[in-house]
Amino acid sequence: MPNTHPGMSVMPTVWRPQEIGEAYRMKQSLGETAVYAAGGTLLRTQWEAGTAVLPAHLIDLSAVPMLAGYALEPSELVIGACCPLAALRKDPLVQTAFPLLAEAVRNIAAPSIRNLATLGGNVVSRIGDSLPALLADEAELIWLGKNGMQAEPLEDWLAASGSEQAGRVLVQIRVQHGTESVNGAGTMNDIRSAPLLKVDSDRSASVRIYHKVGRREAFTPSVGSLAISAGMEHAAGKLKEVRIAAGGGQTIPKRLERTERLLERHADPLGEDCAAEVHRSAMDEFEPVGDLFASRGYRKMTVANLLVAELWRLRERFA
Amino acid sequence: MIEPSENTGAKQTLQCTLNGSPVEMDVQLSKRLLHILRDDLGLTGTKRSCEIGRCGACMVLVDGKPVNSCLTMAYQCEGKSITTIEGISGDGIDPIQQAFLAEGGYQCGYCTPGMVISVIALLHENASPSEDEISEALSGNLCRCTGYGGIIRAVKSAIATRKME
Ligand SMILES: Cc1cc2nc3c(=O)[nH]c(=O)nc-3n(C[C@H](O)[C@H](O)[C@H](O)COP(=O)(O)OP(=O)(O)OC[C@H]3O[C@@H](n4cnc5c(N)ncnc54)[C@H](O)[C@@H]3O)c2cc1C
Ligand code: FES
Ligand code: FES
Repeated sequence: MPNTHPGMSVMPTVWRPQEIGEAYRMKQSLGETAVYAAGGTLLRTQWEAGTAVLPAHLIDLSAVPMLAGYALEPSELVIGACCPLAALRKDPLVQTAFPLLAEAVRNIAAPSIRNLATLGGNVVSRIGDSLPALLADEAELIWLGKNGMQAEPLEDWLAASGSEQAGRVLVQIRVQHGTESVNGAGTMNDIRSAPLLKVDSDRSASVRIYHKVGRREAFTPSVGSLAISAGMEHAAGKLKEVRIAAGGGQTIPKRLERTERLLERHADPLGEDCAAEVHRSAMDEFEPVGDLFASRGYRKMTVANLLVAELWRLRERFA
Repeated sequence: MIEPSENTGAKQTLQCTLNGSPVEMDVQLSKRLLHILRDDLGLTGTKRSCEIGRCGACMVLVDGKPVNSCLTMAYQCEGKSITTIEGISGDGIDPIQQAFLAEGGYQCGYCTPGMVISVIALLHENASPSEDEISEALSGNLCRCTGYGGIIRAVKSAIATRKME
């Protein structure tokens, strides 16, 4: 039985603003009795599970032009908050230029859900599987709030409490291109769950790895999800610009910064000694939330193991 | 300024196309498409099971794309074209349905309308899907009977038949 708002009609009233300012003003006017809806897939899950009450008002964001679609600009990918996950999953350019995001999206739910579900809804949930990928790509969020449009690094927003500036609308998610060019020479190796490796030349490669571990693929909150972005000088055997982000289940994803520094400073980052140090560091640094499905310790171990396993794969590729 | 008290929960007019015919009806805009189809319109080919997007029994096409009608609210159909299992082949039988019959792609049949809808959407987008692409396209459709072998055979047979035509 769906949960209902006390004293209100069982069915929420639906408001369909045509413009972003209108959406924001509606929320300010209706206050706590209204929630924004994008694809509505997470909201439905929460209403049916009884973890959120059916609100009196739904403010549907899907007719707001500024939130629709995405654009691949010269320096960045600009994604409207209401862009369906399916659109990102299917675009070959997104797959090539933003392999972490493309791979994360492929791992979210099933195609029919991805036709409704949006990237904005996934981000605002704070636990969506796109978040480790977006953190490793240092994504930026654009919000509409009381002071107009504001940009905020995703990492800062995730680290903040979440109750701040309630009622803001997420407008866009922006991801910069890496240093390598989109159409640069090199081959893309996107074997399932293998490192997304782009070999730029004999001397360097850019590594993008996204890995989600779940009990049943794409249908339950993941046990752990991990995204890695790094540059590799393979002649020198060094890793640079390492960014590692991990999440899973109800955990708000976070960068593992100490582990990143360890890998950057290590003389032999793909060596056996380093693997043991990285494992210890990730176990120490990653702070997942345990639940009935998987304990905190199990989730820690999963992410630490995944990280070392992916480094091992790289070692095999370049040794 | 909004006057929320004006129409809380009230019905509004929804206009869309259903199985090729224009439809106009008064519904609560947050009502789920699954319930509109089955309870208001008597189109019971779309099945009700988990009601939380996990089984795919309720799959329909909205503007040619598969969506779970248990997750879709009425307002999300405004101006769209909806196709249910009743609408895929007129009075006859679609070759994809025929392939499910011929290849033992069903047992109890409860998942079959949803499966067929997902396969139609897949083959419309990609006439020669790989094994991985078939698996991904059907990853949101559960079957408790067949073990999926017959279903995959049916999909492959439908692909082969289409190529010969
Ligand atoms: C069967 C099933 C499987 C799923 N599997 C996965 C999975 O594998 N991985 C995963 O990460 N998720 C999964 N989900 C959860 C969900 O589908 C995704 O998180 C999805 O991306 C949410 O997007 P949405 O557009 O449907 O969000 P909605 O449900 O519309 O909204 C989610 C939240 O974000 C708020 N919101 C939405 N857009 C904005 C905006 N622009 N500004 C401010 N607030 C906003 C809403 O108020 C709400 O609180 C699954 C859901 C289902 C039903
Ligand atoms: S009834 Fe809709 S997916 Fe199960
Ligand atoms: S044939 Fe019975 S559930 Fe699929």
